[in-house]
Amino acid sequence: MHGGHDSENLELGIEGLSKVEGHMDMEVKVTRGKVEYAKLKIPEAKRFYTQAVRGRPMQAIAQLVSRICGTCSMSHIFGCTKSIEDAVGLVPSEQTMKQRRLSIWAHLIRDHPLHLYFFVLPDMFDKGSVFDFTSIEEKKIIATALEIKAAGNNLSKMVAGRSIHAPWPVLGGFTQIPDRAKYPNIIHDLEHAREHSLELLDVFYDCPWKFEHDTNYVAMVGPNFDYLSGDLVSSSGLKIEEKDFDKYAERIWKDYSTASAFLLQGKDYMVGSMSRLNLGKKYLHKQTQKDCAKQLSRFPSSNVYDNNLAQAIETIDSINQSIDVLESTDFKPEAPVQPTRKDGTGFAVVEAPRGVLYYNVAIKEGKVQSMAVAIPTGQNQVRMEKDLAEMVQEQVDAGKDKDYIVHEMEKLIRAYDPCMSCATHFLKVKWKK
Amino acid sequence: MARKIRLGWFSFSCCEDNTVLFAEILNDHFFMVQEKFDIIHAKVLQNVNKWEEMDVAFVEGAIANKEQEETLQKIRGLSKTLVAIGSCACTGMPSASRNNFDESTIHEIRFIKDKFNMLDKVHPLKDIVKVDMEVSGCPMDETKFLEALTAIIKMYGDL
Repeated sequence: MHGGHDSENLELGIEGLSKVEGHMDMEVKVTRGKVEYAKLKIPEAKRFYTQAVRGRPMQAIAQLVSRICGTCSMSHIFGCTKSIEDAVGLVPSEQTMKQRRLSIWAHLIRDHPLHLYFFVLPDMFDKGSVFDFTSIEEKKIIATALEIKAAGNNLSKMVAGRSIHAPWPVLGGFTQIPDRAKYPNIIHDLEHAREHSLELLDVFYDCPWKFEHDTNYVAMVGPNFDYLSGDLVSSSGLKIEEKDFDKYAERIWKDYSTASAFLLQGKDYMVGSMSRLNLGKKYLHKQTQKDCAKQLSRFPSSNVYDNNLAQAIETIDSINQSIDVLESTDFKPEAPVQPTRKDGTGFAVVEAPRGVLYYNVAIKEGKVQSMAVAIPTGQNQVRMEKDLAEMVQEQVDAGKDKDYIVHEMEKLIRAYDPCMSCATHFLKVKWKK
Repeated sequence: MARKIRLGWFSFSCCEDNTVLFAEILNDHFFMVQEKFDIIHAKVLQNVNKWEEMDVAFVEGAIANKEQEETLQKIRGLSKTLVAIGSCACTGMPSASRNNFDESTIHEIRFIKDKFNMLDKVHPLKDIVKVDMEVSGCPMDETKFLEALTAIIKMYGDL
């Protein structure tokens, strides 16, 4: 245990941050009371998906890139599909867009709660894990959280065939449509999930954790709040065309990490739930704006921990949007739209739960020539490291001990909801030797 | 109170879809798992994780570097029953895609491979250690996983 004056020189290391998706190590070095550096290391072995897709038929790769990440598979399927459709001049039907929206909202309804209730809630209750919630009151909270997650999972099954590596979405459409006979149960469960989510909302609104930072918030936002369409904008006033993403975002290589990081116009930025609400809360469903008016007044926010509140609001919004579409849509069997050409280059941005997900693909004679992907955790990496350095400096200055600081480091990075499975697929890497 | 079954949950090279699916399975089975199992190691779920003897270790992902190989051997040494879950753990694929790359692609990725001490080939678990049960699928088959979990409860639950 380090006493007060020992915090002049500290090596704060966490090997394998818990309660996140994937493997991440942290290292912060403090010398004579000053933070020298903060590093987030992603040591997972790359799986080289960007190589593995080459030469494969364009119809086949969405199912392969889905395997980049079990957490965000739905976003990878639609990001990849959108880029190929852009490349080969394919415009999906309005019915397909509705089914895609439902799939993404379903994804949000199960993924945000996983982070909020399994990863964040234990910290708020000062527990090591969700399994340590053992009193009757605590078990009630968990039961509620599980019901919300289940509503999303069951909606996924109905609209996409499965919640992880969904089998129904294909280029130009879906192979199956939702079974109308299941609507009543699904809507009933969603309504309950909405009620429960509203009950739990103030857990995140009242959370006293605070870490203010100054960065550029970036998100694709627009009508329908559907995570698939809209304008890619930033709080610094940029509006970026999907095809120009690479001109603004620069990949940088950290020699201690297997994943690549990004800067936007040479500066750090933040993507994800909080960025979406900072930039696009006016696009939320009317019901969400009404029911969450108090909590929404918090945005735009620069407190990193409000990313948790933003996720809780987005969960409610995805439920509202889903109920609306289900109640107003009669899905009819429809063959997927066929591409008009077999060659081209395509660009796409979608919003994964953790933020901007970019795909760029080149197609020749119906086969993939090359593919590049930018994932949210990589885009947040530089900001996360700066946050760590600044937060640790504040705590050292306040004379906090090592154990306390290490716990704060974990909480802070967890608020970003990092996903390392995504980060370690493969990007074209030029290592500085 | 009945003895709790000591469980470990581990991930190697993969997309962690089995972990996510397990989190969905918990929607219906959380309180059963809480009652019957003592989670010794599951980094994704808790912050205190121990390297101690386990009745069962569920392992997802393929083995792509030396460190993972050694960790898997350590898990094997500590666990009575080791269950491979998901396609990457059972067959290596799709994480083992690089095993089938052509010469020029292998050359392209060599620098990264060497820098991070990756093995020449990516391996399913059974190439490295003895695997007692397999739950295949990408993600793992939910029904077969629950069958495996039931079998584990029968094996260790009433000691």
